[in-house]
Amino acid sequence: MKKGDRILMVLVLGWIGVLVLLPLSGIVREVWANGLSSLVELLGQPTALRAFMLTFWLTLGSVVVNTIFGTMLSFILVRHSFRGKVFLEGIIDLPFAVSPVIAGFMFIILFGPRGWIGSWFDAQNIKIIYAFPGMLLATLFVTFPFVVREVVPVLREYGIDQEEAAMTLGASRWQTFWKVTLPSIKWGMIYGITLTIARAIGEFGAVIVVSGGIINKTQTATLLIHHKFMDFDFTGACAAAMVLAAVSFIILIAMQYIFSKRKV
Amino acid sequence: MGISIQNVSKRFGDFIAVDGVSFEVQTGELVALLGPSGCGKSTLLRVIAGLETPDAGAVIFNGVNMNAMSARQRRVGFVFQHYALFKHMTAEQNIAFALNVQKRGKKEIAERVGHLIDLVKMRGYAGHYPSQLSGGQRQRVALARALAAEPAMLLLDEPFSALDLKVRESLVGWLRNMHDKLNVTSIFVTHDQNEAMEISDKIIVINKGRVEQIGAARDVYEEPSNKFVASFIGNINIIDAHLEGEAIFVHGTQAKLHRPAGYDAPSGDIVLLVRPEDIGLQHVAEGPHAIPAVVTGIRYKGSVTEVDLQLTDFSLTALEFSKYIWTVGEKVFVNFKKYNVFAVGDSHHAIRRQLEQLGYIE
Repeated sequence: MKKGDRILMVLVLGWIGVLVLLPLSGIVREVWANGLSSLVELLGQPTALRAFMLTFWLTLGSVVVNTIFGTMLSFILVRHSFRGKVFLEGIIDLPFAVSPVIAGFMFIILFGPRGWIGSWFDAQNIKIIYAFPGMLLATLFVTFPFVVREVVPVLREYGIDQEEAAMTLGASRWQTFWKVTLPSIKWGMIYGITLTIARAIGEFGAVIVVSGGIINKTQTATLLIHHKFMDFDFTGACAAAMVLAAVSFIILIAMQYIFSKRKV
Repeated sequence: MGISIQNVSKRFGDFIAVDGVSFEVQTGELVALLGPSGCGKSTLLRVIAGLETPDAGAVIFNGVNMNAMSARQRRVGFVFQHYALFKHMTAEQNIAFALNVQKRGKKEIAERVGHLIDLVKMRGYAGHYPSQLSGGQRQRVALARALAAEPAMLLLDEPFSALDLKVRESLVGWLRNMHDKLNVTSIFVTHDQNEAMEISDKIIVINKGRVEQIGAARDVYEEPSNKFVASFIGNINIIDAHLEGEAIFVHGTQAKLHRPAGYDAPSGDIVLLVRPEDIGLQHVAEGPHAIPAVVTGIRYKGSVTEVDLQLTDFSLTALEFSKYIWTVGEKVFVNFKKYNVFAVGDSHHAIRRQLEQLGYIE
């Protein structure tokens, strides 16, 4: 390696170290300093377990819904041309541009007990805001672009000739989709899902607005950390943060490993 | 399987890709759809396969109208221009695809796939993915895949265009053998007249969405039915002339030729189309109608020599089989051993321009 390259590498690695690894190590050190007892204590709290489970369900819901609708939307965008397509493509990126807090606020206006649609649901005794449905909606909103953004370019490059080939070979539409199309766009979907998971686990702004942060009911993992921190339970917040960060980290590393093993 | 195409038209927006095309293909024939790029030949092939729906006309297989049948129901073997192999499947899995979707027995599939792999000489590459194969190998896998379900008809879209010359030459002959061995009816699309002439029983020449001529290679070459076919198939010299009664006067020369038998249009301006090999070169004038010319360029090609000639008003290219060593600047006399005559009509310049733009002639 040339000298210039080495300096560049040290510089970049140093930057990543200060920006990413150092803060992470702070949390780990804090947990370690308490001899892991804070971790054991945390995992013994039903409230904490419930918060982690809520984050799990929200993440799972986002992955399922966004994968199905994101893939369908990708097909529409790539395979069809229609009026307003450019507009639709612009809208997909909207959740990136709008602050999650604003997103949460929009849902409250719409689905709140006195909201436009929410008042109807309220009359049927269905709670959306300050309940799971509202939190899922908010999480879906902020994670919506990932699958579409990853699948569209893959689908575009893939074209339609393999599908035409499958048809001339006697495959039905269903067989063509499962045996030809899906395996071809699989990696785009997996990457989109990974990003969706990471984002859903870490979502805070939109969720805090729509959830009300009711302990044992609408408290997610990130809200739990926030709550403990505001309660001056610094050790507990660190333990919860470490668990959450570790989960995200393991998922990302696992995905990277799977990607490195892909053959075609 | 006999195929009948009746008055088929297909347009894309304002562009008419196929314009009232009709032809017949007999069982067991190997037919070439030949024409310049963008002439509609690929669209026509896709209409036959059921991948495109015609706006008008009928596609008939063995007397049965196929218009309402999907590509899936038609069960034709289709080889795509860029192969369209399934990238996530090995060569073997690609070939087995049609048998798998038909849910044939495991043992039968294994036997048939093994047989096809031998047929296309891919033993040793069965477990390779398309990205690990060369162009020629991919082409052979695509062919084996199309043949797996034993279709009665094989359609090939520019099957050799993406291959380099040597591979192409060997595959063209191989396709002919394969066709004869398998007892199928085949139609292949090409823009390469050599490919078409070499292996097909019948050539259908297409230009601007219409059929220009249908015939065996020899008919299309020797007796082109119009100026387009004459200029597109093989090299040709186009010369302005005037027809008066039985005599043809070549512009800018003293030459007087005879009206060819079978040409019965009235007197007027015409064009002569003369193949390079039908131009005779002599050092002394033979008869009063030999035309003086000067050699301006020589391209030695081993068995033949291409000789460029400048006449008073125009230039020609001749193909010489003699071992005589030509030199630039040499004075010679030209005579036309064989020629075709066409009315000026839509100017031959227009055809020239079209072919020039497409890069078929310089």
